Amino acid sequence: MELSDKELLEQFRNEQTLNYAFNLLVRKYQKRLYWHIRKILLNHDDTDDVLQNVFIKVWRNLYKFKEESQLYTWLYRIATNESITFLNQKKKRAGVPLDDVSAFLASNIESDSYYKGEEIQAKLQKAILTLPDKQRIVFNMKYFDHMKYEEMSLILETSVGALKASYHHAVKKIEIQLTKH
Amino acid sequence: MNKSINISDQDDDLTELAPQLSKLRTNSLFHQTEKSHIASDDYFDSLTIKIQNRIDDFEDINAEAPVLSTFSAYNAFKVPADYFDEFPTRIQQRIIDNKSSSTFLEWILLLIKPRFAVPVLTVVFFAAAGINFMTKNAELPKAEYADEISVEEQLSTIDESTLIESLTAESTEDETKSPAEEQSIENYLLDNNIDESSLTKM
Repeated sequence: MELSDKELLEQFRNEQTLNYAFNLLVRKYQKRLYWHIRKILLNHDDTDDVLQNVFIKVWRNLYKFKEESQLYTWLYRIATNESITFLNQKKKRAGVPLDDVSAFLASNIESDSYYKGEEIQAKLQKAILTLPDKQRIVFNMKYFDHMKYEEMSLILETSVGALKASYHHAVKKIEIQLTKH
Repeated sequence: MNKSINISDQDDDLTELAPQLSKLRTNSLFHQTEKSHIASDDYFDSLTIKIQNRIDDFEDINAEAPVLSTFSAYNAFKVPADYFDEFPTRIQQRIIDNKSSSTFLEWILLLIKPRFAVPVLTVVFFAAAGINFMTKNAELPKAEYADEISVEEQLSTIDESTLIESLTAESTEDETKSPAEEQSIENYLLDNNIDESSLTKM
């Protein structure tokens, strides 16, 4: 049975139902957060690491959550920040410049045994990879997840206008990449 | 032969023709009762909005990026079997593991914080100083005791009459005042207009 966010939070604040509530929260949001992270990191193993880190962080900080925003907004924000941090750390370890994304991440697709896409899908993914990290996240959230700009604004802490502009530019860049090859 | 179908009679027909089937209808998964699962009130409202958003998004893409619009938003990534079934259990285990290691680490980190480190180090310092002091004092009485024994031993060898003479000679010496002391006493008596004879009477 899926509880509402409000019910989950109430149960989490009760010591007797704390673990049960957290278990339900993980089950409720694991898929959505997994795919959000996976589109950023591309690789399943990396996604698994980050997803665990996200929920550990949620466990430690949920008691501080003040309900000024929606719970899923807060969760998405943590997942986005953890993904970007992980990506930057991985690039540093690999000695890759932080703004040089595409080749580095393209290798993530090819090395991932959990990628089942055909050539045409790989072409789209590589085109998406030419975008800077944050713009790529905006594109994924809009194109694949069909999120509203208002929701994205709360998650990414960016204005709706800036997000619209970013998405518009992202679409144009990808179109050029797809037309080129 | 044409039969007119009276819809309102159909329920009665079912009850007569198939009473068991008629009973099952009320227990249908899709029959809305208080106990069965029902869609939330705003589901259909939000569904309309969602569909409209998807249409708007598609039309935007189609206008700006016709090649991209031919790609379906197909999820080309896959997940290991049972991953989502097992994930909650793995997380719970990790939380339990983190709890036991973090308690010890938190205790160590707490001790090295300045607001705790200073008083702790102060207590340790004074404790060490106190132990050191007590250790030294424990040694002294033995030495003094040893000296006392040797003094006593020495005294026991001296004749009593010699001791008395020595003690009385010392007391006589003590009674004799130095010239400087006498002068200061005289000056005091003169300054305060005190008659010496009045002192002897007291």
